[in-house]
Amino acid sequence: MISQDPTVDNTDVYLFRDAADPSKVNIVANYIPLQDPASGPNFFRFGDDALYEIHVDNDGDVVQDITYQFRFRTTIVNPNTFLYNTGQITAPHDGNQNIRQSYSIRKITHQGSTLLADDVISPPVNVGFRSTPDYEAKIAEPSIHPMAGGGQVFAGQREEPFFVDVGSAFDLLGLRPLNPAHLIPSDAAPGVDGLAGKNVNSIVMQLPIAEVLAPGASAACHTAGSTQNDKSCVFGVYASSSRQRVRTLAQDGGAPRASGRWTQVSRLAIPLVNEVLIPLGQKDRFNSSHPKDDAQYFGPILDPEPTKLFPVLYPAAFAGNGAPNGGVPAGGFNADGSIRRGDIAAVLSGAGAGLMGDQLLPPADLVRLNVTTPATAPNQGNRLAILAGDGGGFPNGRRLVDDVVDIELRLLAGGTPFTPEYNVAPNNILTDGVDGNDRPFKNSFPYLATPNSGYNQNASDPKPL
Amino acid sequence: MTRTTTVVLVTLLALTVPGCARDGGVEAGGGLQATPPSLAVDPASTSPTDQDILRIQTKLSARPADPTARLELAYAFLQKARETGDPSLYTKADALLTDLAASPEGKTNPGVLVAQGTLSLARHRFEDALDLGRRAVVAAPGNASALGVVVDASNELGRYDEAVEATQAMADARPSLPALARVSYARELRGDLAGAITAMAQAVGAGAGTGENLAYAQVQLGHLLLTSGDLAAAETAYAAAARSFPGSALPDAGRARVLVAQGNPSDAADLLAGVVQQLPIAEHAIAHGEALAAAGRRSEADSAFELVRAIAKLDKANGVNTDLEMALFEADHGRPSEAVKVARTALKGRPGIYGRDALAWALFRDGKVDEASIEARKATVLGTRDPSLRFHAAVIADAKGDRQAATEHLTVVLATNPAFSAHHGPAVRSLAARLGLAAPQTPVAVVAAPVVPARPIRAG
Repeated sequence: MISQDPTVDNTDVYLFRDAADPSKVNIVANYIPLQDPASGPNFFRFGDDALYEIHVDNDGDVVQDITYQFRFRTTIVNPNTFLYNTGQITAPHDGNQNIRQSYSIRKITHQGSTLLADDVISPPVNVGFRSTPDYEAKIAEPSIHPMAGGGQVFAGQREEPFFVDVGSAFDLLGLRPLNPAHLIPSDAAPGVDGLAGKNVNSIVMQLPIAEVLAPGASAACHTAGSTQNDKSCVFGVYASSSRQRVRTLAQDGGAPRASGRWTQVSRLAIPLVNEVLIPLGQKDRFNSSHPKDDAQYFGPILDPEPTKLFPVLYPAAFAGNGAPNGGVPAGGFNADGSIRRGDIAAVLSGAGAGLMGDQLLPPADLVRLNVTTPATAPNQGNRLAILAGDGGGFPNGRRLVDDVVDIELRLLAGGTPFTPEYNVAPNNILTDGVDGNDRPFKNSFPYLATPNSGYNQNASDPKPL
Repeated sequence: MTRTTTVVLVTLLALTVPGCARDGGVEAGGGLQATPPSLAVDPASTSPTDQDILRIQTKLSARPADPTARLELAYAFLQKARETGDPSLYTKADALLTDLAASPEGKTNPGVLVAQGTLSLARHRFEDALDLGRRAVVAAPGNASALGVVVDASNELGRYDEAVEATQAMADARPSLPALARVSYARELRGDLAGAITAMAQAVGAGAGTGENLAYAQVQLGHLLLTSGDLAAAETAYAAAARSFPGSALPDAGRARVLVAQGNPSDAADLLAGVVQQLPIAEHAIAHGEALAAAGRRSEADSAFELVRAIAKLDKANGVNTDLEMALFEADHGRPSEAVKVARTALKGRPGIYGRDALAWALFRDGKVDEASIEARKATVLGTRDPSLRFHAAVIADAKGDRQAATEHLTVVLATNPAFSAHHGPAVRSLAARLGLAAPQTPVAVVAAPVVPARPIRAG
């Protein structure tokens, strides 16, 4: 029972200021995980039957104020062939590309809905050096679409930017550099990026900051040169996907009409909340619910299972670390109802995005960015972000370089300055051993790297992309 | 939603089950059998299922008591059984799941319950499946896989209203391929072929790229298109399925149906020979034998029918209930009195329209027209436009002297796929003639389908 619905699977959300243009912000929503580049003849594309959405909350009430909706449409030029392309593709949707996808963007606010763009080209996938040579220049870059009002958008295949030792992490929370300390020990080994060589489908939007902030945001949001403790300069994002509700049978006994109501089937914001903190029995409900109702999940989120597992799986290391409570902070609630993991709640409230005191926002599973924090170039920035004193990354937005796995492992174990009693080894040295992406990011929009090509997969004779 | 490739419902089970092995495998905890059942797999096989099995078995050789890995292995065995029809895999999966369900945590774990439900469905033990499915829904409310078990079991038990409710709940929770395929089935049962085709096409659209689930849905779409009389579209769907999961026998089984519809049972038989080799289940072996017989290859047909009986024995030995298929087989190719006995037993476990249909036909073939007529009416109560169901009802009505009912039913057969069966083809023609209905035309081959038997998934 592999995830049966990859087309609508959210994989990651990134949110970062633009290094080249300080008036802009970039939002990345990735879907369709674990794409092997050599996946012909069908390859991967967005679902024509799905609604992909990026939601912005800019007034702090955890309800979206702006939603960008993406709908895709596939055209097959010659249905009598099974081929994706019948010759070399030298420009997106040229005569040789048989399976073509384009998309529309609709923006929804409290005032109403506007069609921002229609019939925008989504590029073909990176098939190989014969079908899609010189991919970035000839295929990807021409697919970047400028938007009226400023900004640009791209929707198509990219190299998978996330990096994590999937194999070990989900094998009883194995961390290869810490292998000797595990309950089932083994020799230390370097981390293995289980996502190296994979592709993903990305929606990348670059928008003017003025467009995403609330109308009443402080003027200082646009002029300040350093992080301001001002919640009007902070906005939150989550991404989702939906399918239309289907009526099994019609009421009157005739053929059921196509119904319109969209059912959300996936949503994601802060990395790994959905995958790791929400228990199995609640996953489907989580995916169909909205951040504003997340209080129902704060039980598991504020009493994280991985935290309780650390001392079980690395007994000697945690028992002997000098910290109370068996080595990790306790989760759950005190007798008076107060939360024990105030540090996690604080991060969910924007404490990691420069907010404090009365400027803290309601805790929510949203990626929140403070637009007054200076931008970082795509391949710059400390991968440990806030834990290394670099306030320009996760959980202040999320940059491509941020090592969210290591950051979260340490946060969950209490190995951070937020929880000084537990800010000791091994809590604050937890790592999966995978510190960066297998490919560098682009310095220009859409920043995610050129997708790996089908021809090159596992090849002994890889060709330039 | 999730980026892991491991079984969706399987994770961290180990840590809630006491006695997780501490020293690499000597001590099995929580009452688990010391050594889990395994399957010999060719290490060079390119099949994703085989690779999964190898990976999991390697894990288990280091830690035999790992409950998460054991549950993964059970799912992998169930998937492999879907692909190969080997009923001994059900026995192996059963051993793994019974063990896991013996602990308090395992007993209420949704992943375990869904696996047990799926196993029961595969073995045609539908009451068990319904019970397990319901318990899975309690353990994980709104979970689409759990609801899927309830839908399938309810349909087979003839609890059609419950099935529709659960189908709608599944589609509301997650309108993805598994849910949409079941929406299609609900419509098909009620005679809405156009709606069934729409929903199955939506299911295909919802399945990304490649995979066995997608191929399965494409094959089902092909069957629906064939039943609605569109042979060319059916061929296209089967061809797409063959590309989605190369080496699967199901697209070829579909193509064989098209060949039968085109009046070419001999080529259909050759194709089915490969299908049976790869997926030796009763349904395909029966189709093989019938195609051979219709092509005049009598001694080959007899061998094929012997194989059907051997498969039934093997299934029985592994706890798989094939009473329904065997009842129809006995009625058409064996002893009708025996068919009635088997059909009555089948009906107990499968009291839906197909159970009624099998009993109706067996009774008719055993000369009991009045009883047959009563059962046939129950079999057609939903208005299903299934040519096999309607053909049985037409013949029975004709024998009872009810010309109007016979005409109504046979008209449906002629309007859908009159060449639905290599065995009954001539009977369809003669009944049409007797009732004064236009003879079915043999469709001209619109697509020259090369007869290339499926290559079994093999190493290298």
